Amino acid sequence: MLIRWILKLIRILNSRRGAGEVAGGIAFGLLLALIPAGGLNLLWLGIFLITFFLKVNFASELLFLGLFKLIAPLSDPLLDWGGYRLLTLAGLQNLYTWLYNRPVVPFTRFYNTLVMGGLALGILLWTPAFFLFRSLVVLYREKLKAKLEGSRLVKALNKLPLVSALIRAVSKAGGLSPEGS
Amino acid sequence: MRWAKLAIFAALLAGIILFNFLFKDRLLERGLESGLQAVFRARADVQGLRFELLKARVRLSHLEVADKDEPFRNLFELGRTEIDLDLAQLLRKKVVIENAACRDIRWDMPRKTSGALPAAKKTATPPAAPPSSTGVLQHTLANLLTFDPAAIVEREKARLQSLEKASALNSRITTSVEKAKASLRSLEASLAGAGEGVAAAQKTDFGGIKTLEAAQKEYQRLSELSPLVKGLEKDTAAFTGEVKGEAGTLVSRYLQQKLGKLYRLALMARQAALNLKGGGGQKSKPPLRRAGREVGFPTTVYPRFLLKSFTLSLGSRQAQSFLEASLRDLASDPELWGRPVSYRLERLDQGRSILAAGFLDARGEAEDAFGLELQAEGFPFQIKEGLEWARIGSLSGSYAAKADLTLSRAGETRGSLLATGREIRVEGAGREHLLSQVLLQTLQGASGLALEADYRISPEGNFSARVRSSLDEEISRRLARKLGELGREYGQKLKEELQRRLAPELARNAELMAGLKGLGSLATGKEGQAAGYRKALDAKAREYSAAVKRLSSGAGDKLKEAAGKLKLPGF
Repeated sequence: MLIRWILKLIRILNSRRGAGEVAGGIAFGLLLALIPAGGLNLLWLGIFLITFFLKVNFASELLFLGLFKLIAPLSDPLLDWGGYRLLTLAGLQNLYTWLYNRPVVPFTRFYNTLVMGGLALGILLWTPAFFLFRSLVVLYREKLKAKLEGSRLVKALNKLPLVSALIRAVSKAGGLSPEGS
Repeated sequence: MRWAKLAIFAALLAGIILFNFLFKDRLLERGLESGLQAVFRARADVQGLRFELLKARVRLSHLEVADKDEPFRNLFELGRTEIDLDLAQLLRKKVVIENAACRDIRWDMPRKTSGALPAAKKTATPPAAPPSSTGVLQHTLANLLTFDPAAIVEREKARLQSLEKASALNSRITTSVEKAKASLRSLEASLAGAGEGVAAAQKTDFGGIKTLEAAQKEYQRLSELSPLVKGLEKDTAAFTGEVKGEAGTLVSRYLQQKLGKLYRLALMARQAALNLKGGGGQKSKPPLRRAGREVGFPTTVYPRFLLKSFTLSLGSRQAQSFLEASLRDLASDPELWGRPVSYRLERLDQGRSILAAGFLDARGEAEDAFGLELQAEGFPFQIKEGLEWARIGSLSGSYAAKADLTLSRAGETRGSLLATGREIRVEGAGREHLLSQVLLQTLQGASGLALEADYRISPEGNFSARVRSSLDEEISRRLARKLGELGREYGQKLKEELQRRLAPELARNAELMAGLKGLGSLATGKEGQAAGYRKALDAKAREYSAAVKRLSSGAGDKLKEAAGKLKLPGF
């Protein structure tokens, strides 16, 4: 399943369309990575489920979610600080109290500093991340792709049985030639 | 693609909503009816069932289950029934029952339609009809003739599974015992060997060792003995463990077989308790790496279990007999909930009513631990003893009572009682006796009899009470009135007697009075003539006075005139 998603990502990265989908997936991956998912967090689960119905690349979302998860703990002090500031804002106390006393809302764990901080930072970074990664995808397609395909390392790698099998699988999945064109 | 997913999601959502509004309650009604019918083997009817998942609430307006033996009677009926839980708290692993009510419970009530279920499908071999008493006798006699106890025992023994199990268990125990015996024998041999070595070592005279070689030899011997002893200790421990383990397994299996699920549940409960205590030899897990901080907001913190309201009623208020019991604020942690448990019990039975209400407060800071208010009305009473002083045989009637009792946390009990007797009937009253008459009138009066009492029991057990009764006051008031009436009556009688006795004297007095009056009228004419004379005399006297006054006044003027003409000598 994971290999299939990776193959799909490679395919879409190498195709001429869907740069926004990939960038959207990555932006959502970043948002989800910033929100701690532990202890049945309905907020995390809700955002994750919403992405099923949006036109984003699911493979890139999962892949970058995993990648960002590795480095997300580094931002915990910042998230904690920001989350605490947001949760103690005087003007929002009534709203938070109301939410806190609803039957299901507390399961979003919005009252946790990391969750609130992660959500806020994730929303804040979503648009810049989307445009940044869309530009990077376009940049890759226009400039880096050809160089990578022509490099000795890639050629050497292509000769490896596992890699060649993967390339065949990618091309079979639809799109690329075994040569990588 | 995305639209397809969204459409599926929307359709699923619409389906759930549609099911929720149209079919869910009906299906649940049917399910409940089927379940009840399977249990009671008679028709069950459920009406007005409403299940709200998001509010964790189940309600039904009526439920009745017929009696399978008497299809035209209901085994029991339930009126409005409701269970309302707090879903938010349930999701937080807290059971908060907002309301649990079951009203109008009735049993053995008639029903209009038959409650018998449609007949079950007949099996291929219908059950044999019960034999008649004669048949039973013949059958028994025939059996007695061919009675073979040994064969019956053998046959039944073959059917017994417990014997097989017992046999298997016995063989296991025998094997275990044999194994233990072998281990014991081996252990004894090892002990004997070790004992010899140890005895030899004990006999060693360390003072006699003169050379280094001799010392090394002894050390070598002791070193060889050490692993032997260690091995022996190990064998002993193993043997003990083996025996214990075997016995433990046997006991555990025996308990599992005997107690079945209960034993397993008990084990699970024990483990759960250990886990709760943080025991079980397991260290608590370290906190998750990305924990953060939790910012709290004002909320009602509920205890683990809370029953906010519970009501149960038997019969209806309009019926001859009715009972309603209710309980409020029953909490597993009363300190946290901050309210005492309150209860109420009301019973109406053929014109009699009793109402008990109160509280039970388990909170540490509460001043009173228990309170009860009792109201009773329409209960009959009869008093026979202790009424001789009033010459009354018995007192009977009905009473209404109101009492309260409070038990403080310090152990003091205080309370009051107000009892009012109504429709009091007096029997065997001596009507000739004044006090008896008064008492009778007092007790039969509209105000009836009221008894008031305040009491107090100290923590040391000292009892003090203040009792007041409206009877004493009423009796004295009525007695005074009675005595007043009697006084007036006798006064009137005295007056009449006096009048009777004075009548002749009064008649004579009247005659004399009439004569006196005649004399008076005669004297009145003479008196008028004398008054005329007096008036004439008075007029003459007034004329004489006026003439004297006039004359004296003229003489004075003449004297003044003459005096003016006189020549007086000079000085």
